Amino acid sequence: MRISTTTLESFRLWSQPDQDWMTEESLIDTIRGKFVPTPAVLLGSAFGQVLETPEPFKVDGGYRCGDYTFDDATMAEPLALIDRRGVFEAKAMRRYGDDDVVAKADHLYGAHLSEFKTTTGYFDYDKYEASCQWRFMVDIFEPVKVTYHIFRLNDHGNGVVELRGIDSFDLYPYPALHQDCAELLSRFVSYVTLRGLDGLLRQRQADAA
Amino acid sequence: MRIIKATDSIPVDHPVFLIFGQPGIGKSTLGYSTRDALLMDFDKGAHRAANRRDTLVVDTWADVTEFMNAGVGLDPYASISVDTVGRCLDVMTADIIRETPKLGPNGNLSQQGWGVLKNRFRTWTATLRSLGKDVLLIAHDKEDKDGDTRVVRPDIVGGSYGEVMKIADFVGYCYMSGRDRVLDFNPTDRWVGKNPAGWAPFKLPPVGKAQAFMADLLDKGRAALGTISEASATVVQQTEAWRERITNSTTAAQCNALIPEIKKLPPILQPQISKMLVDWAASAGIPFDKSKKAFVAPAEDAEPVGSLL
Repeated sequence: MRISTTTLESFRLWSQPDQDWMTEESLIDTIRGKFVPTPAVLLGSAFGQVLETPEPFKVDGGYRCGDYTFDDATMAEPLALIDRRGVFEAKAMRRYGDDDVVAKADHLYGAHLSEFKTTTGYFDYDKYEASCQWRFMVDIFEPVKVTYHIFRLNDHGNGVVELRGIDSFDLYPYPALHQDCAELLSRFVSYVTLRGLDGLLRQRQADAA
Repeated sequence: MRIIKATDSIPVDHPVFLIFGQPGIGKSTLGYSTRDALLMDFDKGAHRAANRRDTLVVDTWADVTEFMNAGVGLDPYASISVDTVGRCLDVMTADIIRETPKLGPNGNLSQQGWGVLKNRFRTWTATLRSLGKDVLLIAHDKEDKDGDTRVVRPDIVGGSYGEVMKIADFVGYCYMSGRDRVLDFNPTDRWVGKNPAGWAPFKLPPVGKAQAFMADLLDKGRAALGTISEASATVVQQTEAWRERITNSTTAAQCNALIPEIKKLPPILQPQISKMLVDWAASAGIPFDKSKKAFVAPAEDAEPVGSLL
């Protein structure tokens, strides 16, 4: 099977004992590749595009991407965080038994991987630390360190985006990380097989070969 | 003044450690085992600790500022143990409300007040580091239930928890395993952790033999962060060497000649050098043919994007 880290993270979240906000139908849609972006996702995507290549989005006094406007003051600090010698959106794959897990790193420079996240809510360290995404990133890309930059944004409901703050922190490989990834993947493979979704993911693997 | 070149490693001279665990497990004793230790006793529990060394008893934040600004102040100490960081934040909170009552209506911090607390704590720990001190933060543990799963975290209130976890380079959980005291920096599904050094769990030595335990661990942690920084710098140098080779490749044939070598690169280099080549070729007007997995001469019809892998 060919599986993305974002799909695995959706599965991990859905599997949490007390979660009641993600339906199984929504998880299956994610596995099938059906995805309807929420306003928060669209905002994050627009912000990410400006972060990666600001120049095409430059307008007088700031940046415009899609329905969102970011003034110079909002983007100054986020843009200054990024080492432009690095590459954005680097893709890689690792084989686990018969299965391929694919990942896309937001930014790589040297042995340092950075992930950029946006939120319109508050900063929740545990939410990011508990994620399997960075664990698979470490297992696949083998960086020495992963830095999360969490940009807290407010679009005031009118598309004019303000930066409320940036929370940055580092996470590191640890000895049992590969085992943690392999165990989650194994549970996912059992689940999709039970639900008859394995054929779709096998086809994706064959198509990518 | 020292200049560190862009491709050189930056040493972490003074790491911040956070250790959390049950009351009575010996955290304060560990706090006294740092090099030339000063333990800031916010929790009023230092009297129970073994191997006791210098202690600053803290009732209010004024005790801390007065001590830091007085005479020799922190000069004799190489390490500061904050016992506990949760109580330290309480004391800092009281001081913020005393100074600016509107940040703490009814004795509880407003949203703006929480922001001030986080900034002030971050600035304080940065000051300690800039003064050349190693910092050991000590916290009690707190158990949250997630379904049937127990998750143990440091007992630190509200938004300050995230701030402390951001600042800490190492986070270790101290617990009893049978009769042994164990300190584990590995994150698991039962507790949070940070383990840049990749340490296996430590069985803590008996109190009498633990007088330099944290001093040794801080040194090892410093070395581990240095190794990480050096490893990254080495990869940066390799990346920059590749960049030069790639930007000297001005034809599809020259770009294609690099592909076999790129495919043999280690996992950290291969994706970024691959992306670098694809981006460079696109900017140079050399299209990548996904079906052939090769660059083609610009006149041929192919998409200018894709992955080598």
